[in-house]
Amino acid sequence: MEKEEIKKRLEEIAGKEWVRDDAATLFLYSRDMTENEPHAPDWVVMPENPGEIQAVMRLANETLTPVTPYVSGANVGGLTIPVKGGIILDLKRMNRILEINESDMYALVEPGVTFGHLRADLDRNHPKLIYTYPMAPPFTSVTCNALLDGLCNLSHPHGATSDWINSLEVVLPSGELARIGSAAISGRWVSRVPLPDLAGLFIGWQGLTGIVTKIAVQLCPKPAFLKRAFILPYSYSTAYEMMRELSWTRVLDDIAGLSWVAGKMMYGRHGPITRDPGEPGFILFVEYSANTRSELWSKTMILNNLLKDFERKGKTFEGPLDINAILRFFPEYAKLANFPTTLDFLLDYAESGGFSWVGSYGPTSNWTSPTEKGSAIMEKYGFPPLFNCRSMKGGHYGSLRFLIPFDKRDPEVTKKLRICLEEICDLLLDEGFIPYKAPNWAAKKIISRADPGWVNLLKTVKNALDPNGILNPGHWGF
Amino acid sequence: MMEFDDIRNWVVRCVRCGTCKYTNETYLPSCPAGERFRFEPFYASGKNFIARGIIEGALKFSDPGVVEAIYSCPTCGNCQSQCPLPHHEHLVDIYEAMRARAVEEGAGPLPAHKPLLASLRQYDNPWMQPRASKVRWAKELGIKDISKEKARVLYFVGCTAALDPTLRNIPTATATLLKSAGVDFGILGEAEICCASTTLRIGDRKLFKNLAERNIELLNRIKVETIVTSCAGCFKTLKHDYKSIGKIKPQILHSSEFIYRLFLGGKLKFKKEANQVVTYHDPCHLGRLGGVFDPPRRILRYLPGITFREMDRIRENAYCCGAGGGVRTAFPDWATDNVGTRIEEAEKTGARLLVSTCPFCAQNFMTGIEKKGSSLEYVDLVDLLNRLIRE
Repeated sequence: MEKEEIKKRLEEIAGKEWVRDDAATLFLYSRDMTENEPHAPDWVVMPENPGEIQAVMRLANETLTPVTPYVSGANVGGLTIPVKGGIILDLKRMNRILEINESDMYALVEPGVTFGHLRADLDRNHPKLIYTYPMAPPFTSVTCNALLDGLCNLSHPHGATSDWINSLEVVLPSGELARIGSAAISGRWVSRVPLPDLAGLFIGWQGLTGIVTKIAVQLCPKPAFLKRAFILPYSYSTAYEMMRELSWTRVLDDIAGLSWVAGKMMYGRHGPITRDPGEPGFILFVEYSANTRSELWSKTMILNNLLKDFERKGKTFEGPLDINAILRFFPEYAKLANFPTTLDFLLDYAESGGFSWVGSYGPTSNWTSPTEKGSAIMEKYGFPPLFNCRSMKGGHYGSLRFLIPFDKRDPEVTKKLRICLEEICDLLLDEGFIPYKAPNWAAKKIISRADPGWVNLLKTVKNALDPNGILNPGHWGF
Repeated sequence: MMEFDDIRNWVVRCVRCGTCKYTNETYLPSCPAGERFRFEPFYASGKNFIARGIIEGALKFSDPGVVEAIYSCPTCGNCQSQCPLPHHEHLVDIYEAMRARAVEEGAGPLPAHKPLLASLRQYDNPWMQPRASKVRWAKELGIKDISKEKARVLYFVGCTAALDPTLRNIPTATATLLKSAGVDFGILGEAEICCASTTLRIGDRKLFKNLAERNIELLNRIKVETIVTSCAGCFKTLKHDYKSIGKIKPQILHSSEFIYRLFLGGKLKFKKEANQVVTYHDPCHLGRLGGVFDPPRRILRYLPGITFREMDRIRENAYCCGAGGGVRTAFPDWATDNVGTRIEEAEKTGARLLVSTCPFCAQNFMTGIEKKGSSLEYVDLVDLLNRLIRE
């Protein structure tokens, strides 16, 4: 079918106003903040409902046109760059919060709903409930983050945001509509058990297997008391030992850390940013909550006693510093006092709009080595050793992310950045960490090391769901 | 005011994090263009990237969608309030510089803007009316003609309030208030030249420079101490945008600032109580881009019988009515739909009166209120005050 005919059909589906193929639009959707190579789509379509998405998928199958789903394009992995062209389905118009169920504690949302919107709705209309927030700008999609295994400020007790998914509604590549989880059986969006967990067909797949049109995510009761404290260990090994032991206390809501240089960026220090002699190496922050003051006091005591043990063992660190004490010296740290937050302290350093990363999950028993080696790689290539980490799901695993703001105007810097990222990616894989939200090049590295049985199963599932290979081709090695 | 070649170092700072799209804390929409068109090019980050694309040679002004995106923006500057990065304070400068370059290259402005520019060239006002019409509102009010008689204060009326018959209550009320407070003031009458806000917003820098230079010479020649405008657009242009052309010696105040001073000095006596619930809309060129938020609010809070209630999005976060930046001229339906959103926000406060301080906002609000069949009444602050000082 000719391009003009496809456009006409898309306009019939979504309405003329919601299909664009002008140069300005195609340019905008062809690239993101990363170093990943731009590639323009042929059309950008903005559907309003699942029915329109179904019709687009049927047309895409008929014409073998690639389709890439998109909400804000801020995934830091080139995941919405349509590497084979075709249709970008921008889901921004599907931005309704369909239900907040206070009794069963879930939010049912469309893919265009962002963390900011959900937070605002909860604060205004359901003040007893909270959701979990990533360390990302507030206007990123709740759905995309969950489907991409994002991490968040309540990941320590609950895991990645994919663990917060109760149920889904998804348009399959064939154009069929399916519900996953309890919603498929009872019409209630409360859980994924006790059923074959088909949500796994869509989580972590980077939009290769279906377009999620509704998602129910778990909400939590808002605690009466909340305390956030900062600890500044001098070495990475002390920091990670603390994080592991803190997770064993079973009383904390968040255990996370940043490299000291990231902290320096936060209070406005501009480059070149290095760790000066005598400075701590790490900013560890914890958050805990309680129903009563005495419960909060007890948790504080548990934290303080653990830190005293560390002192007795001769470990060097500063703190614990209450967030309010930190704020007196560095008001900029308010960024870490309330989520979602803006990340200007990181993005400001991206003097020419370039920002990239390798994020990964792996064993907390082996946090120190990849952190030290990854930081050294960054410094070798002239990038400040900027990383963050978080204890996940009770400390059963942890995140480790290396973040690089870079000068996108300079092709040499961009080239150097890619080499640096690839080295870090190899290192992480060597050390037992697995990149998440993996860009195409990183996904290829993962697949090259994967169990062949896993790779075959991956291909079998993809081919079964999307025999024409129309959804987000070029990603995850497909 | 920034030249296109000067925006290079700023546009590259944008990483498209999307924070510009919504207001901080309330998470309500900030960008009228983004809300209307939804596609990425229409948000601040999109326009930045288009500018970057042009600078780096990947796009041209003549490419489809480029001019549409850069002119589909009321230049309200809400994105400036939301963006957390260093280029944030230059966002409107970037859009205006893009428009200026588009005009230079013959790609802009939009066809609907061209009659405004022709009118400005012919009549020194954008409303296609002869100069003599500009003084019609003042007949029988006995106001000094400042080119003939000296006065301490110039009331710079502005084209929209002077020439739109539905808005004549604004200059009339302003003049009545100044008189009632015993202010020694005058007007320029037929000699008043458009401030040229329109030319700057839609990108005709040559015409802007011409009008601005004539205005600067005229406004310095008349030797007043203070220039008072009742138009947010004139205020922002005279006070802030002229700085790149030359210096106006007299201080420039918006009528709300000047009247607040009179109010504090006990020069205005109110004879009636309003007995109304009132809300206030910050005009973009007075508030966010002009830095004046408090005087109108302070006046409203102290007026007898007024219950003042704020909308959800106020001050730096105030949602634009959608009239500015050439939008109402080129996209009248969108401007009316957009103001409908703001009207709903005002209605939510329970207010009966919607007060603001800009004739251009006034036009848009009055159209929107009529279209929606809203029970709100739009009133300019000076008009409300004028009602309360009369027997």
